[in-house]
Amino acid sequence: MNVFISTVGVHLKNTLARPMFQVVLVVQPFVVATTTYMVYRDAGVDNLAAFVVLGGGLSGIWSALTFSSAGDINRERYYGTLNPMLASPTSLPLIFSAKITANAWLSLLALAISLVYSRILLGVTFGVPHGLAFFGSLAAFLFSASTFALCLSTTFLLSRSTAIMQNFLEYPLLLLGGMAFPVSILPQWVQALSAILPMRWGSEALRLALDSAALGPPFWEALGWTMLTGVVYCALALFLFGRIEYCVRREATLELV
Amino acid sequence: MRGNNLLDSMHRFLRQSIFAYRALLGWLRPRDYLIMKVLEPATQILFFSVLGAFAGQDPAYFALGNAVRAASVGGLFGCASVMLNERRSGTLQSVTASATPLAQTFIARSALQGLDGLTTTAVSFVLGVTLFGLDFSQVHWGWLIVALLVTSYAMSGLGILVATSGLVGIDLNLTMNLAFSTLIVLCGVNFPVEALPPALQVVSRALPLTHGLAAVRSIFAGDLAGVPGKILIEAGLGMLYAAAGYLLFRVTEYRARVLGTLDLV
Repeated sequence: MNVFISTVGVHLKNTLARPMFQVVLVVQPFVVATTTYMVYRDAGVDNLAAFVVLGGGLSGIWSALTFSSAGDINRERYYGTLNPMLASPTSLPLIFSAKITANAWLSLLALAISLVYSRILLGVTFGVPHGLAFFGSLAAFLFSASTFALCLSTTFLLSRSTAIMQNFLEYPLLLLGGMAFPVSILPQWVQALSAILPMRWGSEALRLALDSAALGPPFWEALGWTMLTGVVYCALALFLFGRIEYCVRREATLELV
Repeated sequence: MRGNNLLDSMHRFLRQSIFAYRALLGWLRPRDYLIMKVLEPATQILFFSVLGAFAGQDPAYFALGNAVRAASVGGLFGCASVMLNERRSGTLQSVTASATPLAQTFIARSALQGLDGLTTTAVSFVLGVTLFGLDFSQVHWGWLIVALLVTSYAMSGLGILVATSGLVGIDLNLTMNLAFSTLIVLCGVNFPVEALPPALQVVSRALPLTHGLAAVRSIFAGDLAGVPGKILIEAGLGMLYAAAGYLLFRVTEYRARVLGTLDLV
């Protein structure tokens, strides 16, 4: 636990000091919130506030998580500390879990920025009729998005093209995650693909928690799937870390990808 | 003798352009090129087009805006990315210390990125036609190619300006991404410039992508009357940005030498 807490502490400071992370926290909510607002404003889209604020905030959270999970590995590799980290007594998944936990906490700033930006500059008011359900869903979203990011970071261990991959993965996951529009408008096969993403269920649960109507089975179903997919990705990440760590130790390819 | 010098200079310029283009765009690893120039723009176009379709608007409008934006971003990122890579490789000091002015070196290295934008455009247009019904029936191909090339090279002008920020200690990734995001919001990519507040419309009209994209939209609508004017403004803005970038490059190069900030990011 000490290692975990220390890593979270150090990573919080390091990450917040990085200009690129600051940009991701601010820019992504700005782009998505502004675009959804300008496009949806005159279209009579129901629940505009949820799409604008949540669209900006959740896409910011996701971008911060994906950019960091990929970037953290790349940075450690660039600094030459990935090998010592692998050789240390603390397990690699624990260190990266701590880093991603810190990223997840910091990424909440994106939601706050989206909220303030939408309220002050776009004039979008945002009410939370089911506070407990909303914050519970937000915690579930963060947990599941973090475990998914942890899973991604294992694959980045094998790749030198992490910067390219992190740039590429941003928009497909925003599309499939239904953060700025419901996935129900996508073709059936794409919906099936998005069902394996925890962000899709998390954003759905959050939107339903903002609806003033009473919480019904769809909300609990979405929340349940968010948690379930989060747990599955957590288990998958641990498995992949074990396998990939074994492979790169045996083949000595950690720095040779 | 003078003619030979000119030919030599042009040969060096071209050689630098080709080497930088091949290195930057991952020609050594075609998979990276495919991701950067095909898959990434395609997913961005899909995202914004679906967003537009959800609002009951014509997704082809979004597909076209994002296709042109995606294509011209190569011009913007080219020069700055070359600078970023030189710093990462530890060769920026050597390049700065060489006899050729830094600005000329980087302009040469980013020269082909604008042209390469046409690859992205072609892929984006195929996607626009197959998924979102982008209509080419009114298109005048000659004007379309001119408009796309001018827009792409105008963005290279902005790219040169952005690259100068790297010489004074500002994180280049930061400025590149700020510029990229500003263009998405302000240049009429996903909604008309007229929908912006008046102050932002002024900013929008001073950015290189706005007029080029407006020209492309007019070409698709079959309305060629205002196209030459828009292309001329786009070209003028691109040259203005490039000239400002060149001057700033020379100044910041001098300052970076004096302050010792060349490798301090």
